[in-house]
Amino acid sequence: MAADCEPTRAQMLELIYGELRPEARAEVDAHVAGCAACRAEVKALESTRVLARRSLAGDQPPPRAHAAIMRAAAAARPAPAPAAAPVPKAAPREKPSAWAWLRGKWTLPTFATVGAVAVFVLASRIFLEPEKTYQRGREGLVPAEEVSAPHTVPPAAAPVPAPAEGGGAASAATVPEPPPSAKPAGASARKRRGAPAARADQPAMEAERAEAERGETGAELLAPPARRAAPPPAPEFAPAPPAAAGGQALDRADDEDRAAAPARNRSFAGAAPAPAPSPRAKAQAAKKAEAPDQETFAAPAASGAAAPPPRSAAARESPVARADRLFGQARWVEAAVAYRELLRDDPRNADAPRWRQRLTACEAAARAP
Amino acid sequence: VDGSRDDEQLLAAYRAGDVAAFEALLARYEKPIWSYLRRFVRHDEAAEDLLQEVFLRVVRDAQDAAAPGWKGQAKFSTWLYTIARNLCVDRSRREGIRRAASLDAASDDGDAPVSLHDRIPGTVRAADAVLADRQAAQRIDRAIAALPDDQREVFLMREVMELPFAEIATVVGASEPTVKSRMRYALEKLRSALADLAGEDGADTPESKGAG
Repeated sequence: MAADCEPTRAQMLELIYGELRPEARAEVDAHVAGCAACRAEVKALESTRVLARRSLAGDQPPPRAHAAIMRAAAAARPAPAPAAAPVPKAAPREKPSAWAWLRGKWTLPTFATVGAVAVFVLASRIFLEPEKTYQRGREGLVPAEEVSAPHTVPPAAAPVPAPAEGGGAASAATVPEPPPSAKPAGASARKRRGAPAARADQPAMEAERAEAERGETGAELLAPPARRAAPPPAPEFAPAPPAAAGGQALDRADDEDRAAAPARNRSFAGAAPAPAPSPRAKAQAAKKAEAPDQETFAAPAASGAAAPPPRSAAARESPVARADRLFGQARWVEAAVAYRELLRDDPRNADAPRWRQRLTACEAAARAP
Repeated sequence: VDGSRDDEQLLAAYRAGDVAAFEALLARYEKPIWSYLRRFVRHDEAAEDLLQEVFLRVVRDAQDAAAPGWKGQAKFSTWLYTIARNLCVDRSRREGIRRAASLDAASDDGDAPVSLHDRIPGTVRAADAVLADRQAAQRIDRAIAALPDDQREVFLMREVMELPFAEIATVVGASEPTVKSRMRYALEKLRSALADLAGEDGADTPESKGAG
């Protein structure tokens, strides 16, 4: 490099990025025009830029993120006053975090494994031994019941079972409220069933994990790999807390999960009593009543791992359940959006204080490192 | 999308309840910010979270007048890029990966197949050309990823966000000469990592190669 190249070399960056001061511009241009070495230098740097920019230009922002951001933006827009409304700051610290920890710790892996096992078991039963399955079904002996057989459910719980089946296409939102008598029955049945099921859940998992691993390849094909394409919610296996009497007395100091219980029960129980069920549906419901655990255990879990079933899980899930699920999955941003929408649509709901608490928690979590 | 209004007008409109104005802002900035984030953190899933977080800060800021956000004292874009940059830096610090990543530099054995293809004269079959392009693209990506963090962020701000050096200096909190020197280092590293590609690219237009 000749000595008279130095001023140009010192301003090479400004030259190729068009940031040369006008008074320097003429001088540099004149030098480059007459200096082969500097011309080559400019060309080399520009070629490097071209290559790099071509690569960078291929970066396309994920549409999923765009949609999530727009949802948040739309949800946050109205209600400037309510947005700043008093939010109970002193959220009970231990309970929610322990709950979130438990769910975060167990829900996803548990459901993923359970789903894989269920798909494997069901598929092998159906495809390998169709006759046997059929016969067992007729006799009301459902194989997966072995896991949770000890707890039989009184006939009162008959309308409760399986969100996946009973209500048909009816989504939780459009389903009529269950008759008043069904609600406590459903709640208590769920409670009774919920606790042992949670315990039975673990050994069953241990026992079937090996099988799950064998079936893993298949499950992976069925289950979306991304963590965000998480399985739709299976009903929670953790012990359902006792519902407050009549689902009414919702003290703010009350355990928030207790407050959640009526809503959850409603969304699950609500799917059962479809208007005027056909005789065949009735027969199916009766059959299910004999094997309710198998239903609640296997059916939703299977749909969780498998490709979206015809009746989409999203349609089945109530907004509250969805928000709670996102919260449980530590998807703070989406959960915050969901709670915000709930609060906007139904600010006077008895459950609203809890939503507000969770919204605060979500925002804090999303903000925190 | 909404070319008639500038950023600040769009933000004001969103504050007044116009969600479409927010979407126009998002459309304007999500691509450069996304590119910056994913190239900086080198992890797409994490970058996606950060992308949401950047714009949620805008939402929160617009929602809450008391929020310590954009107050009109600086350009909106500078504020936005500063958020993105700070989130990246925080994350790097948290992950304990804020160290020079130049150890696995791009000048490794990955060069061979591409150079081979590059030397095949004239009539390269289309499949080979596609393969060569893909390998070249991978090499570029690797070379960018291999830049030390401080050089990479300056390079990305210049090339992706198209910020002038003075503004980059504001965002990263360094002097303009420092920023320029980082940029020079970055370009030199990329240049030597991509030397054979760049030479080929400079001599030949991509069209003449693809047409064969």
